Amino acid sequence: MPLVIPDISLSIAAPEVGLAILICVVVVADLFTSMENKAGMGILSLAGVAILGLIVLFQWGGGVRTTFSGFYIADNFSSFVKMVVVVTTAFTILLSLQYAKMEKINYGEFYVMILFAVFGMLVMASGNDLISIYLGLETMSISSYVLVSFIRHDPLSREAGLKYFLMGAFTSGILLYGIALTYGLTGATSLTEIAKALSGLQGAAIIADPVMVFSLILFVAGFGFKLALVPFHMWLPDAYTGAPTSITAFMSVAVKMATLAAVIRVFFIAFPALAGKWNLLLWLLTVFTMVWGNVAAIAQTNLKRMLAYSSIAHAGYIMLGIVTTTKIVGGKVVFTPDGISAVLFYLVAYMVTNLGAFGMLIYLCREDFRGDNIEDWRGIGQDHPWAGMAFVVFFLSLGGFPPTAGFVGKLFLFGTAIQNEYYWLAVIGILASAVSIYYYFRVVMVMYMEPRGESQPAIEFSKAPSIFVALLVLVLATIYLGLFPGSIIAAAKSSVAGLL
Amino acid sequence: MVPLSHYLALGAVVFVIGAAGVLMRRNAIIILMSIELMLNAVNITLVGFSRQWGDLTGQVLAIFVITVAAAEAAVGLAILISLNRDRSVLNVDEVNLLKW
Repeated sequence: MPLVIPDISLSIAAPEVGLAILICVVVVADLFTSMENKAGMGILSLAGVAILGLIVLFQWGGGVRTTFSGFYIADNFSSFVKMVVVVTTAFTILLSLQYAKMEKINYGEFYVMILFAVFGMLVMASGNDLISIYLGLETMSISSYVLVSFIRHDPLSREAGLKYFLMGAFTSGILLYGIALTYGLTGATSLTEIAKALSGLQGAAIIADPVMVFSLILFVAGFGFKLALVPFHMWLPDAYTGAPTSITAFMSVAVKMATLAAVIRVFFIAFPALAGKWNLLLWLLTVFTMVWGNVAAIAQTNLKRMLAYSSIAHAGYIMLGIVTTTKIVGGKVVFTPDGISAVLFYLVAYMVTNLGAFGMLIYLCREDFRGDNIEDWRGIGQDHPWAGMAFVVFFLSLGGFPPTAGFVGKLFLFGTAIQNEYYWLAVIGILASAVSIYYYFRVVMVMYMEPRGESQPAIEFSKAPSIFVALLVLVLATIYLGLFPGSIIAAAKSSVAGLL
Repeated sequence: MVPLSHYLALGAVVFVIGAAGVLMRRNAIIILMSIELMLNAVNITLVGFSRQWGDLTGQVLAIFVITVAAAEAAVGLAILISLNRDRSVLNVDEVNLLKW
């Protein structure tokens, strides 16, 4: 057997290589830092992440390149996803710098685990093979189990960690069985090879095989768990409530973004031949997710938990974009790029909005007072009009009102749905998002209409400049994307262009 | 030579036992063991298919799965220990501070 030297070009995988170096640097530097100065690790990670952002930006527009024997692909789509992940990470670290001190989790490992999770996400964004996607997914998940249960002295956080871990590990088992069956039927794990095996006459026989359909269901269930689509969402409210708030913000954006990148690649690149089948499954999950996420959020009294349910609902809107990408023209399945570019834009809008909403919770948080119940926000609109206004902007964007980013995002998503003749899905989505206005504005009402109770502690926002700067940027970005979405939309369109 | 169907049947049976264990048993450590069973069932399936196709990809993935399972077990047991520090809970039904 001849020895084949695989083609490995590290420059194509520069973001991952750079991040791996950064992780090593932070781990080692952490050893020489005293307990009081651990925030320095955060600043070091932040600087590293900023350089990482530049590397990713530099890769934009470099065309489609693969390396590591086709395991790794670098194209505009992966660069777009990585950019969102990197920006989310930067904001997460900014929000954590002081918050970690308050929650007494100010260890260097906190930032290291975030970076490990980011490493997994970058690999997922560039995964061109079921093996690399699986490994990225696991690197991301295992790091997030640790991050969720990071507040060791808080029973809520430990419990959230256990639940997230058990559900997550179970899910990877399910997903893996799907991967194994697909490998068995097609003889390949590379996404393009699978697509090749499923096309043509021989492919028609495999597609008709019930085992293939079963493996597709396992894929949908596995990814559905990770994205928390109803009915696979049970872990999410618990994990999001118990986790440190900055980690909740991180997971609600970055983990979703990376998983979605993997979902898009697997379903659109590897299984286009089965589009009719998975589209139907995802259609059902989308409807359940949009409806149940919004309905269950109404009953919540804990703001963090309410935002957790709202993020389930938003996962539903995002899946709506994935479903509506598939269009049937004359009995043949066609992919229209509008759906995915709408999804990518929506994720950017959702990133600035959701990071901001969770950031407001961190802003109010003090050592002896978490402030994540809705009634803790009583009277804040009257006493602190600017902070109240910031929160209102985020709620407007989450509810989809102009002139915010969320409005443009929803406009595109529902516009694509109508354009590709998914009328029912659009109607259900719009009705569901009308329901969401009720619970978002209940918080606004509590902030502005209800006076602060006698027994409630006085409002005292965090004085850390890092949190203030992060929130200011997020508010401005939310409004800016609502008024001038053009550049991000163009970027989203060009990142999809090379994909489908 | 053992035919492929034997590998697949064994894999499927072990996977179902593992999945049933996760869904029905209430002891967190037994749930963890059941998850390991599921992963090992996948490994059996992968190696069987790998032999059938005559290429090594399946075996490579199986080795990765074993590695990931080890990492997962380490993190999972650490979370269980931290949960057990102040109160001895192994039954997942008693882990119920967060509801709905």
